[in-house]
Amino acid sequence: MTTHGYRLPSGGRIDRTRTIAFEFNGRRLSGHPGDTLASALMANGVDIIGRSFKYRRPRGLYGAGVEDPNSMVAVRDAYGYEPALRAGQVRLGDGMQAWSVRGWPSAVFDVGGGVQLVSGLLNAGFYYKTFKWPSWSWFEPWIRRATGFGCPQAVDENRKVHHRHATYDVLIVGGGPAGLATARSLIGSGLRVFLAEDQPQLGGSLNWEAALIDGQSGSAWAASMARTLAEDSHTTILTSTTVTGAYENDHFVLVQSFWDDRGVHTECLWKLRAHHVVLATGMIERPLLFPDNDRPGIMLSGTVRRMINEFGVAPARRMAIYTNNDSGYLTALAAYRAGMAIAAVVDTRSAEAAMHATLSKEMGIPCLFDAQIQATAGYRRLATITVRQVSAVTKIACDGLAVSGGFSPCVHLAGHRGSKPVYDPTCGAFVPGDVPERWHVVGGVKATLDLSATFADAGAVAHTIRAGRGGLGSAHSPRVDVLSLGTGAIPTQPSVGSSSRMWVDFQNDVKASDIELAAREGYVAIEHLKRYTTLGMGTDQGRTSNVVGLSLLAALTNRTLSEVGTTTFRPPYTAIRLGTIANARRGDLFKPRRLFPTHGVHENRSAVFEDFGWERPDWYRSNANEREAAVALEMAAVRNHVGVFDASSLGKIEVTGPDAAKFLSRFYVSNLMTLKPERVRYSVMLKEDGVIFDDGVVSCLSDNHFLASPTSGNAEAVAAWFERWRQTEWPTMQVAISPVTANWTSIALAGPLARALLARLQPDFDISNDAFPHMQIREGTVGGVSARVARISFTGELQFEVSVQARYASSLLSTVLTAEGDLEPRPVGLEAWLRLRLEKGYLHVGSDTNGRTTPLDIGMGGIVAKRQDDFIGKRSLKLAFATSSEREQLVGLRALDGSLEVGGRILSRGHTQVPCPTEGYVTSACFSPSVGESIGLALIQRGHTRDGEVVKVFCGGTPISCRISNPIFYDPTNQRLQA
Amino acid sequence: MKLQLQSSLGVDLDAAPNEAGGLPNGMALRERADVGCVFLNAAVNAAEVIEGGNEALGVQLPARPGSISRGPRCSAIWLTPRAWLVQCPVDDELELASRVNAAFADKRLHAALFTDYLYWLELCGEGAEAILQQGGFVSLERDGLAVGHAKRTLVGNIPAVIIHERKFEWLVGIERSRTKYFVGWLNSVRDAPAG
Amino acid sequence: MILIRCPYCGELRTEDELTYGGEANIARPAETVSDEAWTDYLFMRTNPKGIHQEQWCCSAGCGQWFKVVRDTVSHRILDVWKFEEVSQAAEEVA
Ligand SMILES: [Zn+2]
Repeated sequence: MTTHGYRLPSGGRIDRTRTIAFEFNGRRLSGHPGDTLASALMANGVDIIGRSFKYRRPRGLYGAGVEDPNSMVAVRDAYGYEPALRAGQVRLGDGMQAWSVRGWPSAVFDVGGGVQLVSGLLNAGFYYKTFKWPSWSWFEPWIRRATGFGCPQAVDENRKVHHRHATYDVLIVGGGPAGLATARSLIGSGLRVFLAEDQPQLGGSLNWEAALIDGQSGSAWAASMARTLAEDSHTTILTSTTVTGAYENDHFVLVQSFWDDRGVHTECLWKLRAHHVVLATGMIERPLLFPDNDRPGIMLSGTVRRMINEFGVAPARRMAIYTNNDSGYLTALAAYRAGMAIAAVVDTRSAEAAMHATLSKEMGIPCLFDAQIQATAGYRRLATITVRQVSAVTKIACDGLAVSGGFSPCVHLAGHRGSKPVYDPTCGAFVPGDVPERWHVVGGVKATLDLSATFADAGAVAHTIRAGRGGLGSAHSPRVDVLSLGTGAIPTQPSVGSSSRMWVDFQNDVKASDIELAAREGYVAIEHLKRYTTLGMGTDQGRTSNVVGLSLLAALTNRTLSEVGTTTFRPPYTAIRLGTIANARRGDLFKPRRLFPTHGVHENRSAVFEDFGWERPDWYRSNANEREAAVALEMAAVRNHVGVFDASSLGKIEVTGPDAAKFLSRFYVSNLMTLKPERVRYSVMLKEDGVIFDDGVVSCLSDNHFLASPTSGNAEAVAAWFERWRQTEWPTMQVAISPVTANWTSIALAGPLARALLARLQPDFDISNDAFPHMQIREGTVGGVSARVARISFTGELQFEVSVQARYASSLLSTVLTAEGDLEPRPVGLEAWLRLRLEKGYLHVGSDTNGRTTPLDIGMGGIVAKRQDDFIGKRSLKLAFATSSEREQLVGLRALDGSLEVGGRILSRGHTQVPCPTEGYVTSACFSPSVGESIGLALIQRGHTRDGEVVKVFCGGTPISCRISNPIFYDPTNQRLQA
Repeated sequence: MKLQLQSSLGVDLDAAPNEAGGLPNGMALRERADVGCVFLNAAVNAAEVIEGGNEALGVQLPARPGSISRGPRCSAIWLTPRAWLVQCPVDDELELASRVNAAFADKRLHAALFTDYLYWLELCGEGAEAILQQGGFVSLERDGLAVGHAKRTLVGNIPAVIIHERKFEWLVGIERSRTKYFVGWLNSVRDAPAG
Repeated sequence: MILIRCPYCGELRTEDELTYGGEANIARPAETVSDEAWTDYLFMRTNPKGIHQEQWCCSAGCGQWFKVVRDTVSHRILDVWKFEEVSQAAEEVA
């Protein structure tokens, strides 16, 4: 079988001396280094790359790059797998495998072809309408199976990722003639210039257009520019690098690909800041509308030139050209010179084009004017077009059709910054409107089709930028001998053929008739049209279809293109792999995990860690192999002899200065002005709305020197909170806030033998009960190093918290754990620790309080009432919400039958079965070995007035009976912690 | 008795990049457990305490952001308009802190022990800055962070103190509990392309 | 990307290194005020589309709070000043 596309005997920038083998849909094919997957497929005569989204129509290559709506492929190279790329984006790699992503079960033979029979169901607004009626669920399973853009695959990902952050004076986006000329004219200015080109080589269109600059071919000129720029130490050039987004305040995101013969091995995500921006992104060609305009073999006109000149590939044997502007003739010329047969040039215009005479007279190519294509035919591939002129209808045989409807500048990046493109009626294109400060627009992106004009423009822009640097450097003005794409083209509307056969958006299968329907149904705002029809919502983001669609809408609603406007452009310009964004942030590095300095000692004891931001031992396998048994042993150790708990994550903030006490008193519910040196006080801290934010102890180390101990999770937030108030509200207070948490490791010794264990560390101060009572703190040396020891208790037992500098932490912990004799110290994990405090009825902020809980709700009303002076949140406690009699208040619960569990709802009075209203919930619960009952804390409406009442609590799927009690279940008279 | 010093900070540094670990471009990374620190924090305007501080430490407390001043026993880094990080040999930490605290009994200036808050890594070589720039801008200024200057910033998503000691020589201080994370992060980005 | 030069440490900081503190110049009333005045202080903000005076903190840098005039549409920073200073720009918009 003769294929349609084929490799030309010569030409192109490919390396014909080497061959690369690859697979497409299981077929073994070959190409050359320098090919894209798109050019290689075309050279192998592959016509159908996939099936369309809704109607399953066969689709072939339409564009040569990222603009292509059709050629969606999944690609596996030596380094990884990508589920949805455009074939023109993929550099051919040796051993590469590619698949059609929309060809289930196969691109060529498609059972879904039957969908075309029910195409009436799938017109504009299908999704809008079926969500309402009859039922989305009827359609969903079928839609989900038949559509979609490829599947993820679990493969080993060997692609490396890097991130870079950098600052430059000038970012030039685009390494075509405009970008190169601008960069060249900035040499010598002293400015640091960063040029990003998304293709592997510089030059842009010069690599495939027949230009003559300074007496050399366009590509030779580009290569010499590249050499000159590479030698300049102030210029950085990155190829294969796409600027994917422009953000406020001169920030850009770029993705750079590094590839070799086997695929893309590395990607680098750049976050770049640039003072000046030169937008030299060029243009994308747009198509023309005509019936059955989506058959394989029909493609953009510039793509044909690029295939021939860059890749040495002929897209067809017999080519026709359909154009409304001069550039179509360039394609005819290129195809003719490449030895392809030219069936005709079909021009919608009546005026003769400049090159027409040459073409028709010297080459014998027929040119039809005032002509429109009214039909195309062909099975799987274009075979004929039918051209209508005023007085004639001509059927022309051709297997390729190059289409040019004019050009759409790549204004996307300016759009990311909120710059609305404006319609320029003289060149029929949306060009950047008001661009952000220090942005400069050069060349095709402002619809400049003439290369001389582009170079003049580049010189002017470079001059403006240099002016800010005292005009250093000099302009470079290349002489252009040949290249103009002619004039622009006003979007033209077809006047023949059925609109229900004209595809506007190939990727989403949006037809001209869908836009007509949307307009009839009132979806005439462009953003509405987009969402109703899905025009431009595919992965190609409507690069080829948008202007065609909105010019159609403009015509239908009798508006100008300016009035219709464009939809909003948002980053990214092309998709970024999530892995590239994540970089190191995966696995263990997903988020910074904080380790105790004693982590190794805990590991030696087979601690089972839980992630609380800090890795904290939950329980120890060295105590028992099973969690409940270990927790029971750990609790028993604290109650009966001594337990050792690592409290290192507890916050430590030194608050110092003449106003330190006054300052702290403004944060805590308790008055700290009266706190004497060596004394410790417990209190809670509120936000200004009266809700509890944190709790903990404050110690007075000496006059004007305090140590606040917020909870582990809030340590940094509390320090920031202090600092904010100091700076913004009370700047004249003489106080300094020094967060020192990680400097100290804190080991708590808890239990009747805690004092004996502390004594083993040979503190240089008296630790007897009389000399060192409960709620006091000492500074001195312990184990021969400087230490702070606080006598406080979270467990209800005698407890000392020993803090030493972290470099002694492991030694301290090992020493206490291996204390010999009858002490039998046991490591205690967080679970046992929390249960011990629950037995004692101590609050755990965040568990026993929620986003509404005030100090009045936890029984601190008396302390609040005593405060004469103001503190943060105090005023809010007088608001109606805080004083309401319906408040949920913290109480104890004892289960009379069954087991309490956290989250169990308290059934409203009079109810015994669910569903029913509830009036609170269990905040903490456990079986208490000390009490011998299932106990808990709960926030219950009016709880403080309901002591002794029996309530029903929904636990374990059934209501159980519980008695409301005092929350202190263990040693209510504090005998033990005073011992 | 005397508790033992734990120089490796309890973190498995075998996994860390080091001279033998094949960093690119002759780069080297090493732990600086010898660096001691005192955190100086004033409860009043800096001007009121600078003189006393200078006297106690024998170094000029810098008033200019980002700057470092060096003295015979220690150097002082500007951290905030009222706070400095004093770097000294680890064994001098206690003495220097107590000299400041003795000079300011009213606590208008406070010296907090800080050696174990920070973990210092020295990163040397031509590609050092590129490695750091994988985790953040280091500096958004045109000419980057000048040699002899310091700043606090985010590197690899965590707060860090960065000192540009000499050309191609950087000292990075991170909060101690995040050492293992940071070393893991450095490992994951170590082969960043230079330049 | 929000970008502010911290007036204290002089460094350019991106939003990763900054903390937003909401509208500036919300005066904290004495505890003797009415419930309405207090709840206004707690909850009522101007929330404009456009020019906004706000507090920011150089949280990953020098830790200092400062004030900013920002255009909430373009994220342009029109002025930045220390708490102990007065802003020309802020006075003009006020
Ligand atoms: Zn700052």
